[in-house]
Amino acid sequence: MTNVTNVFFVLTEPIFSKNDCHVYPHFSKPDSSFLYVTLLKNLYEIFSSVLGKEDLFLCLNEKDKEMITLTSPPFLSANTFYFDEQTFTNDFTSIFEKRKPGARNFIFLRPDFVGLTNQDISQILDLLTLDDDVLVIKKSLHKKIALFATNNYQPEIPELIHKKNFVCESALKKLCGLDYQLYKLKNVFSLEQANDFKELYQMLSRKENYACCSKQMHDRFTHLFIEYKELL
Amino acid sequence: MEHVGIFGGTFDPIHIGHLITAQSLLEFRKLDKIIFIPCYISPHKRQAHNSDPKHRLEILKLSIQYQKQFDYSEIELNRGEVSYTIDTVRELKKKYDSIDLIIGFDNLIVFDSWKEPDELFKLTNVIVMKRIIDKEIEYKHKYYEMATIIQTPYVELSSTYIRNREANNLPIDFMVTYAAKEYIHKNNLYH
Repeated sequence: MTNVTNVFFVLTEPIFSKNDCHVYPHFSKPDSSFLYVTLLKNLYEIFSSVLGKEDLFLCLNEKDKEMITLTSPPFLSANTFYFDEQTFTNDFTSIFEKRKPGARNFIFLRPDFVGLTNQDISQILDLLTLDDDVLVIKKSLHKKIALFATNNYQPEIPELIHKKNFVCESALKKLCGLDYQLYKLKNVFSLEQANDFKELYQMLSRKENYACCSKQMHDRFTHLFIEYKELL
Repeated sequence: MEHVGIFGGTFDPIHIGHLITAQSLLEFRKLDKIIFIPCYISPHKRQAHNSDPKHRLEILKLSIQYQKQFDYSEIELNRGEVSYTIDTVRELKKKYDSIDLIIGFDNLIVFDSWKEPDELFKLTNVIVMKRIIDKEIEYKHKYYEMATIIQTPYVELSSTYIRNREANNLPIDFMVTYAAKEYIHKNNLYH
């Protein structure tokens, strides 16, 4: 039997609601929203090229709920759930409860990064098929955990990661205490600081990174590169 | 020209599964010897039941004492920090002409994330142990084709399982060598 993998895109902060959206340095609120939604859409697109949309779960901040209803972005699947901030920080169980019956492997990510390709996803899925209990980590260049995946979900995993505020090295010290085969894979590129936007531009200009986003997603990023060309 | 295999791992403790696998590789690859290389584990990353490096090494020595073609190296333990395989290989290359780098199938999956993977292929023959339970993989990077994959015996045993049994005062006979078992008991390990 094929192992079913469920993927959870965990957005602790609102991104669709332009009023509540976390502002990216030097960006307007609507453009910050556009940027974060693009990052999400891009990762969603890459994952959906490898896995069925029915296995992808969007866990959004409840402040986005009204905005989603208004705009109904076409990429949103039926698996869209809303949580308050308290749930994101203290109680991952309610997120995990949304999994599909029979799912054995789980990937959780904070979709604020680029740099993941469908080959990377296949590599993660390959690791999850191993016989041992496996924990896969992808960290961002800012040394935060951007993605973690496991074939044996235990509530301690997200709990430990949350407690360490996603800081990779601190979380790893604790995660090593669990009996998992730990795999740390190639880093991804997250957008946190002002200078990251320029880095993103340079990164997406390089041929070897073409697989990180589709032409359509590239166009969305280009819209922002034009809008904020003084930052490049 | 000495042809050796290097077999790295935590070996906490080394068990019969490791020894059976090593023996089969020794024969299949017609090696002069296999060198077991216990890896260094940073003290702050040691699991609750991980043992001191000196115990891991002592159990290893006791376990291979009667097989003259099995040897060990303290090279990674002596560095006192987490080692990259390429550094170990470069060091051993000064002594041995031909090296088989023995890795598990899981390591092949992530081999493209290793430090200087191309250089590892230049300096060694990368030998991948594939057990009957290891499934085919989807993403095959270029190293997949370059590696020599060998079907090895599958012994359903892990160091974690042994440590857990010992922690729960269950017998570990036939899972580790007799001498290793005696050493574990004498030093009250994994409790």
